[in-house]
Amino acid sequence: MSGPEFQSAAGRRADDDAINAADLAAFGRIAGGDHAALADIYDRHARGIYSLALRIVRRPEDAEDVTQQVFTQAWRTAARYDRTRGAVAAWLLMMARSRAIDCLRRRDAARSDDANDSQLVAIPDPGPSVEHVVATREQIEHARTALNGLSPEQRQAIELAYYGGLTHSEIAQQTSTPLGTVKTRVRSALQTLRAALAQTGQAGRRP
Amino acid sequence: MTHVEQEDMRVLDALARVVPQQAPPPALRARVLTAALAGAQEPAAAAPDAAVAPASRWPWLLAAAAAVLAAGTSLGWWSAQNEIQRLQSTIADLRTTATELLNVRAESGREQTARQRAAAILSAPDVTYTALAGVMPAGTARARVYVSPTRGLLMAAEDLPALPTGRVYQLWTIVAGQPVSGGVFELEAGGRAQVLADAPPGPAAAFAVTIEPTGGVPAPTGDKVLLGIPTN
Repeated sequence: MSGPEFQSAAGRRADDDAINAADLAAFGRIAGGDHAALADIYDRHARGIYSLALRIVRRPEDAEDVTQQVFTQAWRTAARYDRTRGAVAAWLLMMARSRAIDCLRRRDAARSDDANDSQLVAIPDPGPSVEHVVATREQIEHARTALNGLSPEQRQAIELAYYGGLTHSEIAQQTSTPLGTVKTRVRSALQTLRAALAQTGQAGRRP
Repeated sequence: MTHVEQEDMRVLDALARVVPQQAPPPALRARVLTAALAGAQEPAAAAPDAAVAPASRWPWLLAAAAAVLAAGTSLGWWSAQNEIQRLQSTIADLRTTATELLNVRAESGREQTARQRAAAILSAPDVTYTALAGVMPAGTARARVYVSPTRGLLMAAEDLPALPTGRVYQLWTIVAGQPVSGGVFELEAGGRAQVLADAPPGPAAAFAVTIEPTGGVPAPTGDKVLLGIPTN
């Protein structure tokens, strides 16, 4: 999907750092009531947020609502954003996933009760002590390759877990697979992805 | 996995970004920014949500108007796309206006004066209209405000949520930095409402509907449910 890449990995990393510096500066301005700063954030991140929301909710009108909710929350809480928690871009995407999965849950009344317990979701949102880090473009490409290399069962498990927001038991039910097998598939798929990202030698980076 | 480890954060971010990338519809930008700016901001320090003086509660409207206008003028080529979208929605709105005009004419009976006044405003040569969008959580609400400086103001709203006892909706026009009340109103069947008011005393910077105590208030104090910025 990306074109020829002439930039070095270090150059791309510098880009990410520059983007985050600009995002944090914009959040500072938003906290001071500067509306143009929100437009600034929108222009940089709306595409990624909308694309992720669309992948999860599938309906454009719902993806638009999710995008709107993310920016409304960003505007409302920018002043409280903890800068030591890292990349704004990663936080925005995390919120987008979370809102999109909420939207799925509202739409699908047939879901089991435990789906509303976010602790049980097979891949929950990171806890408050986790620093928001972004994957570099190189790491995203590695992740894409690694996903394509997974077995169809592993891939289905991680997609239902991440993009479907399902619990382990729901994945087990939906795929007619024993619970233990589902847990193993999700865990090993995550391990494969972690290893693929570590290949780049940047796994320890903090923004 | 009961909680996400630091190293998994990067994996989750990668999963969020490997999805097919697709640009959001151009019209979403103005909608999102308007809706976001209409929301209150939380202060940096965790302050209790104490009563805020009414006068400090409405400048968001002007600010939202300014931001949307500023954003709209700095977009270069992108604004051409936007203009096409705007014209398309203008055509759709004009169709709706025609339907409303026919409905107003077709209506019979006791509200003849109001009906005639509404028809007079809709058919005025100097009438302009503004679309109002619902502010979350009243996201699906929408309305149009028609203003004829010579004949008055008409607002038609749809999909407004029902209100608890003791609360009414109140329409506002911002003129020269000041909120001007367009009166309070309650819902008709099906979440619809129609409001007739005098024309605002000058060009409107924005229109909004807020939830207020019965009887209304001199300046907005309550939650915003609808917001619209005139396009010209």
